[in-house]
Amino acid sequence: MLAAAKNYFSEFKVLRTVTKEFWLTNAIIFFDSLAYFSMMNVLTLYLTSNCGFSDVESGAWTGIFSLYITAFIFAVGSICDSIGVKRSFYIGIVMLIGSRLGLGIAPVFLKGDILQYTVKGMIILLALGSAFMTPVTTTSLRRFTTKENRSTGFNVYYLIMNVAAIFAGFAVTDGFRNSLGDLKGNLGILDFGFLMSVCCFVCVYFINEHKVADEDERMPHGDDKSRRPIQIFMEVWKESAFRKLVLFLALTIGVRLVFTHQFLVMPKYYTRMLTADFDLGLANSINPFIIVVGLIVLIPIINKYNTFKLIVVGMTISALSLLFMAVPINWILAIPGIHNLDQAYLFVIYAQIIVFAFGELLFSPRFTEYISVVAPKDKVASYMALSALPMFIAKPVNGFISGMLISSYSYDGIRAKVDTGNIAYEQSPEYMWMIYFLLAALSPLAVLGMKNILNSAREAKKAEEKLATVQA
Amino acid sequence: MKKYLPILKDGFTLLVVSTLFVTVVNQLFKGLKKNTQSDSLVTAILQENSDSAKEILTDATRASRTDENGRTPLMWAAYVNIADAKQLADADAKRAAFVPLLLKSGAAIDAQDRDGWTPLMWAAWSGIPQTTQELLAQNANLNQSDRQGYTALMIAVQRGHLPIVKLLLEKGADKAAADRLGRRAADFAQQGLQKYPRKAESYQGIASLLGAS
Repeated sequence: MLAAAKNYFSEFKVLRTVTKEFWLTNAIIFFDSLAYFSMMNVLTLYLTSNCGFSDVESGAWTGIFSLYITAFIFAVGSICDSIGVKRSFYIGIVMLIGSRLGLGIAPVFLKGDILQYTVKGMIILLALGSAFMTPVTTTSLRRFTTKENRSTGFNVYYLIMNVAAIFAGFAVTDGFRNSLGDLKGNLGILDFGFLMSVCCFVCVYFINEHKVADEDERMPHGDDKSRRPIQIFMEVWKESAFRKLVLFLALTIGVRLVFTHQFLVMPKYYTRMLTADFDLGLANSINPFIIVVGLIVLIPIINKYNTFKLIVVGMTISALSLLFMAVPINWILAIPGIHNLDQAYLFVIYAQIIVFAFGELLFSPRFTEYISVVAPKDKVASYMALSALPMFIAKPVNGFISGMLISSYSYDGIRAKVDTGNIAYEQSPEYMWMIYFLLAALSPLAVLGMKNILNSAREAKKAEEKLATVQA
Repeated sequence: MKKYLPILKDGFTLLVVSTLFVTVVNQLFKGLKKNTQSDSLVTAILQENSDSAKEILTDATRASRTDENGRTPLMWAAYVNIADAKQLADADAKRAAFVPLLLKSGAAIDAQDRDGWTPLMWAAWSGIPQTTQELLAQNANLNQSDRQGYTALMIAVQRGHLPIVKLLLEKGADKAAADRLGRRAADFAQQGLQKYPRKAESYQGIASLLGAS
């Protein structure tokens, strides 16, 4: 394990030659991820407690936020090739500064419908700003790295983002909520996000976008027209390999949505089944922590196994993680060492987080690999971009479903009724998790059932490549 | 400008498609649930904003409006779920102020929710003595029981809230009342001792008040 860690970090030596622009981009990623993840940890709570949204509305608007991010990423994906990295960063960050500040102070000055409409507007602006950041940061990293150090550069990017997610949880989220209380703490977290966006703005100021590491990267790849998302979609949709890929991605939504529960369902579930001042940031830090450790230590070992098997095994583990929260809580109370409901809920929460993270570590990186395997060589980027389509549809639907389920099975005050035996299993939060478990369990089962169809896409592509090699 | 036009066009198309999609989904889900709106009075109470609450309470019907679980605003005022003692005490002081306000506006002091819980039971569960005292001062029914036969005293004992138990007993709460399974307050004190060793001091105090030590 130590050797794996040593090996992982020794790769970073190639970054000695990178320019300050590379590190400034990573600083932007760190600041923005701190703001983004800490906000996501409390977004549903903020919408309900600070702005007066019902559970259904807050779930819906969190889902809508994710939907708009995905939609806008499609739209602005190629924008930095047209207007440049620095200008794109400025546009995205100014929107983030405005929206984060707006969300942080609106509940102090506004109330009622005016507050709710302002917050909805700010969420859309925030989604647009967040959508700008994703393609711009990747383009920026590509431009400020050479062919030799690019893959390590992207590893650093992924690492920094996860490290920021860890700190966003236990340090930022819990720090503000524990010191200011849950209501003021939520506002403090959003104001902190505003400050982080200002830090991003300062970093962008110091970027010299003409210092491109590799001359090949100075000009955009291909003409703008060929990169337009709607046009790409219309072309790619005709291909059977793409339709099979969409089918595969749609089948796996049940499991992949579990990750979104971390921000949609869990904050309310934690604070209602335990206490409003529960350290939800710490709980949400565990997942990125396991991912970081796994990236360093486990990935080289895991890589030896077959991709398809890893996807199925990983998804099965992730789906099974929900069972901890889905079984009647009295069963958990029967476990030796667990004496009361507080301990039982803590146990199921942490067990789910840890087991899910291990499953995710196995299957999540394989998705990108699988897409690149089934996509024709010249269309990998298009397939990758459009692979977000099933999630695009699923995210807002999940937002609405989660809001409905929470308001029925994990409403504020339900813990009092659980304590006094007023809640039967079919009215309990465990029942809600059973519904989510069944949805998630469908994914590995469906993928196994469709194994032959899905594998035929890979085989067809292999044969095509073989033929092309022979002809060459 | 010409080169940005396709991007803007795509952006606008995707925005329209997304918004249409969300609107359709929203309508579908709204049809599935009766009440998807929150109550602004409850929000004001949870935010401990008495000015806003006073403004809303100018509408005489608001104090007795219930949510889908049958909870009234007074029950919401009596409910807090915080572990930190300082934050809990702060919340208690602020929530207690809502009790006379809501009662003056027509809230029923012994209203029961879907499970038969009264505002006093919520305050007993939450462990907020000032709010409990306000409710008791307005003659809240001490011995009302819920669907399971729990009284406010049993709930406070089960949670290990010694100050609340003292207040209830001082006002004459019935120690001998039993729930549907025949358990009395003293039995809950014994259970608490086993289940929550960290709160042993509170449970021992409660047990001695109930004469069960």
